Amino acid sequence: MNTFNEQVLAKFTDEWIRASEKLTNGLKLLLSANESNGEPTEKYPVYREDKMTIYHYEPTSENICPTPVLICYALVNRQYMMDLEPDRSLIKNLLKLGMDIYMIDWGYPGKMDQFVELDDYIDLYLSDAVDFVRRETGVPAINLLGVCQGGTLSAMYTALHPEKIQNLVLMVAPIDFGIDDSLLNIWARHIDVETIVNTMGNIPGDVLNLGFLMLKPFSLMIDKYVNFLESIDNPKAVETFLRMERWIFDSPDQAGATWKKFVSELYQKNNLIKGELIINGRKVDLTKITQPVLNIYAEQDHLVPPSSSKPLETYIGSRDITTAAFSVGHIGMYVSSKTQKELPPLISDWLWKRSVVVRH
Amino acid sequence: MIESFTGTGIGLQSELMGMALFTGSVFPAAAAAYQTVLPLFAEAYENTFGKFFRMPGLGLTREYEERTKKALEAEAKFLTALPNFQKQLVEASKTAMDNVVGDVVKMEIDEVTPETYQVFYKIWVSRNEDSFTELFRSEQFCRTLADTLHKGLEAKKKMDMVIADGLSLFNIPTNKDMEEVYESVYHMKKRIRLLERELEDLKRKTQMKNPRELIS
Repeated sequence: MNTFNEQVLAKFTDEWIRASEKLTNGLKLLLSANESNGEPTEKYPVYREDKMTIYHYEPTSENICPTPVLICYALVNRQYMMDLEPDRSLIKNLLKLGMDIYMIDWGYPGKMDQFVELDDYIDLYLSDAVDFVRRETGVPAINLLGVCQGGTLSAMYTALHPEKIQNLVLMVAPIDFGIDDSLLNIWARHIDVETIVNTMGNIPGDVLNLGFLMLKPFSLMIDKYVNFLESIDNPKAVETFLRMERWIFDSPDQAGATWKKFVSELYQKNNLIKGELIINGRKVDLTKITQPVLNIYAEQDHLVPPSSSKPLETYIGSRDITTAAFSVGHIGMYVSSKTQKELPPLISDWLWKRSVVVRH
Repeated sequence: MIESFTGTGIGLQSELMGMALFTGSVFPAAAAAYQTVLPLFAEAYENTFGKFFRMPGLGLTREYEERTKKALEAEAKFLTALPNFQKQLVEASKTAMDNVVGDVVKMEIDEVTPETYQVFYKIWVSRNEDSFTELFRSEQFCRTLADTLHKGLEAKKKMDMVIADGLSLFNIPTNKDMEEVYESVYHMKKRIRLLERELEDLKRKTQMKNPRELIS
């Protein structure tokens, strides 16, 4: 027994020494880490309205698609996930394939914005963003690419203003909220949104982040960092990890009135697919979406499961619907090597085939 | 980092068995104690401090006094609800630990010798994740979460009002004052945008050649 314990102790000590060496090297790396701000692709602000900014990316291809793409990201988290690293940038790859890209940055809502309604995001900010790109490019109907919650907003907008959208692309967008596959949907049905908003005004980004972490507490709060220790002495891995970490916790607060309507009308009443959602006095009728639609979802998505995205085709009026699935999670959709190879050509080929040259 | 560790399974298993005996005896006892004590505490509170906090105030400061007592009562209700929430987390943790031990014992029965400590770590993470996911999906947890959150927010809201009362003595605006300003600015901006658009429409229409279009 003593021999066994001595062996165990010797191995423990040996493992501890090597782990300490690795940690020391890792800490040296962290101490000298020059954390990049991400967003390696060149872009320029071309339009501002309150907290919203529209950026235009410098085209990098000689052959540019005649219809520009406006990317509408979620209000939760920041849009630079799509351009996080030079070698894993959806934006950079789309530009290479000839896309003319405009991107909405929703900014950081402050206390002043707590009364901003979901209706304002759809019928004011997104509407003005679409009109700006139409004016700027002389194209009467543009391509709209909605990501995550931005996809839901884009679907609502397209249903209300179909004449301004030539093609609609949705990525990991929740459409059917009456599902039980995601804890978010289950929890949201029980919470008292009225009291939350009346007490807090805006919903702090950290509170939302805590909710997202609790969906997989041991994987996201422990295992992730244990795995990070495995590669803490690898500069490239540390850089990638820090960029991702920065993005994950760079969470804007949510305008209280918008969050309240989004949760109560969608998560609690599932009114979008019922055709009972009212925006600025008008019913959002998804059957009004008759333009070509590309619906992309992630098979292992724990935030927006396939069961929430896939049903889109059942509710819209379009006859040209393409559905594409990737065997990744929600975040993997933007950063995994597999999707970086396959997703940009899929979007670009699909848009090139359907973009009609009509410039005013 | 986590090196190959042949032969350490038995040591770890005994350690985990010891922990299981501990959790198996202490956690259920603690959970049972919680369940007995909580209703007693709530009943005692209702019959003593609760009555005091609900007693009407008198005189010049009655409004402030009542708001303060309501805040204290909301705080007490939140603190009474919180252990019920924590109890569910503790139980999920205990279930996870039982399952970890079960897996380890099964490994011993099957004579599977774990190669590394990482094997145990992975079991621990996955069993905990499973246990908490099951808890989080349950109707009971969702109700408790909603109830605790609601009571916590009610306590905060009422305490914020008491703080605002205190701050009103000073020459500074309170959150309530500022919220009124924010709301007014929001509606004014909206109104201005609407008027700007109406003005632009009118300008466009007046520039049109056909006067009939002015009417539409």
